[in-house]
Amino acid sequence: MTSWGVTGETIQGPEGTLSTTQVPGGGVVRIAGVSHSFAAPDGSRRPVLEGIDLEIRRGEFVAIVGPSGCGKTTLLNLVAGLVRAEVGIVQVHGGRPKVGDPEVGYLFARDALLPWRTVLGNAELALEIAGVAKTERRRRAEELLASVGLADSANAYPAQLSQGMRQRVAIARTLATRPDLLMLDEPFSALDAQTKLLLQDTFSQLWAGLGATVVLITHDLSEAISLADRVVLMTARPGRIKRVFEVDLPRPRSVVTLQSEEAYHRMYQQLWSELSEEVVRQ
Amino acid sequence: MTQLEANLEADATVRNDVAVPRRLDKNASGRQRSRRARTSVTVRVIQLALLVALFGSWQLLAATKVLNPAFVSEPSQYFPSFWHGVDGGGLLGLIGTTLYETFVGFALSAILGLAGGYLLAEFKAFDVIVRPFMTGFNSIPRIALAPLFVLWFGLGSLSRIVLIVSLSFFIVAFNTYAGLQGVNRDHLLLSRVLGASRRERFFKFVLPSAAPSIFAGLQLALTYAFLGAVVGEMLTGSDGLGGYLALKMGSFDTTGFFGGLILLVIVALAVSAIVRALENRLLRWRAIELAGTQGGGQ
Repeated sequence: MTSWGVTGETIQGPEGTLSTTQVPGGGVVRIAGVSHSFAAPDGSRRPVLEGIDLEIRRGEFVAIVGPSGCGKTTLLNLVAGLVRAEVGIVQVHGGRPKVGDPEVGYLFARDALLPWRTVLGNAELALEIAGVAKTERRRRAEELLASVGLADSANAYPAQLSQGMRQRVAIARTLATRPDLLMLDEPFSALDAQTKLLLQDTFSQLWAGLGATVVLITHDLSEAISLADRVVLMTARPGRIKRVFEVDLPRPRSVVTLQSEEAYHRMYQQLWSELSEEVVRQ
Repeated sequence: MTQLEANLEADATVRNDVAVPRRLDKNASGRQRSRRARTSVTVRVIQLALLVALFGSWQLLAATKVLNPAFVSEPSQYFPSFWHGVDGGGLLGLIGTTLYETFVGFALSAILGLAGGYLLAEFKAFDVIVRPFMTGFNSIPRIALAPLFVLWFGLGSLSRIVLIVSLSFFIVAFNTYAGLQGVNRDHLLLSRVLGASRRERFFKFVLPSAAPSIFAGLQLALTYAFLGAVVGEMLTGSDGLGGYLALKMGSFDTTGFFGGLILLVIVALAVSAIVRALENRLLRWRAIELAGTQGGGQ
């Protein structure tokens, strides 16, 4: 029976008590005491993140959910090294996060495919920049295109693809360098409902074969529950960690078949009741 | 893995409902091709009818003296004049001079314009300091400077080449600048997170995205180069097709003038067809993209 840690250790207390929890296997991502703010138009500082403590284990899939403007993307940008934290420590693989680390892969809501490159050319892009030799990168790109079901479209241009196919190419590009940390910023949010379900399952299955650590930013609670091992719920701005939920549903999971699981719906209810408080507070 | 395959299959059926990828289907594109061929024949027939109507009515109006043939000549006169000029009348030598000036002027404008546009886009200080001067110079009607260029650079081809560069350089430079500035922000973010070097960012992300704009600039610059050559020649009346036209006009030979004009139109059309073919080849992705956004076939 699956359990949704309603009692005991699995639900962490509010305000990120996780900081004290030492996780076995070592943290791939370590965020300790991080606060951050942005300049408001009137010149004052507006806090976006406050006292964030989070440690992400090797091979773990962590989803971060919260109301709009709670600083989710800022948190991801801190881990990506695109932004430096004002207060606190952010570490990736035990060091300061650096932009352009080939060990780290990114997937955004918008596919950012280069329209002048074919599907194959786009899938090769990350490998090309990482300096992988031509024949090797072609082989790897073709292999990945096949695994996302686009082997037949290798010579098409992005404009000839549907939105779902485009995002599949972006997934191939991201996974081609075999990153061991994946950062996903609402990667499925621009897709229609059906395509989204298919792509979530495809991604989930590809991930199962990779063993990469994943940080997923999302608005979509069912996406968070069905993909992640842990769901980090953030408060309204300034974003703090309100609660961390462990998702004990057995793998492999399918987004579609989970719909018939009672445990899934319980989690959804609970997550939503906590999240809705924050949405209303805004 | 079987579930993954089922997924992919399901997505494949979903994508059949999407209009755009239909073009990947070979049968459909075959059907579309034959329809396109029919359309293109129809278009050609209509265009030919329009040409016949234009020259037919011109001939009719001139022959019946509704229009004074001394002013407008008539097709039955100027077509033979054109043919005569081409066939041993020295028109081809004259157009050779004009084309030489056009291409040398264009090539210089392209090289300088690409470099100028790059400097503007890449170096903020250069942009801030130099651009007002460029905008100012570009606002001068350059044709008015042509007599000055003749004074400085003589009656030969050099003065025309300078005139062309003064026209075309700015077109290439500003289009290059605009193209290099208009890079998609998502692409720039991608280049950052992929760890692209400055050089890789320029050649893999910025330059290809600027290519359509640069190409549009080059195309326009070529048109202006041809214009600059002919107008420059007309001013000095000494050489090239422009010189020929000025000479015919000066001697009130409208028939000879229209005969020369026919060659001018043919050359201009040929040059633009070559450029278009080149564009379709180099920027195929762009054509596909535009066809996609218009929702129709290619």
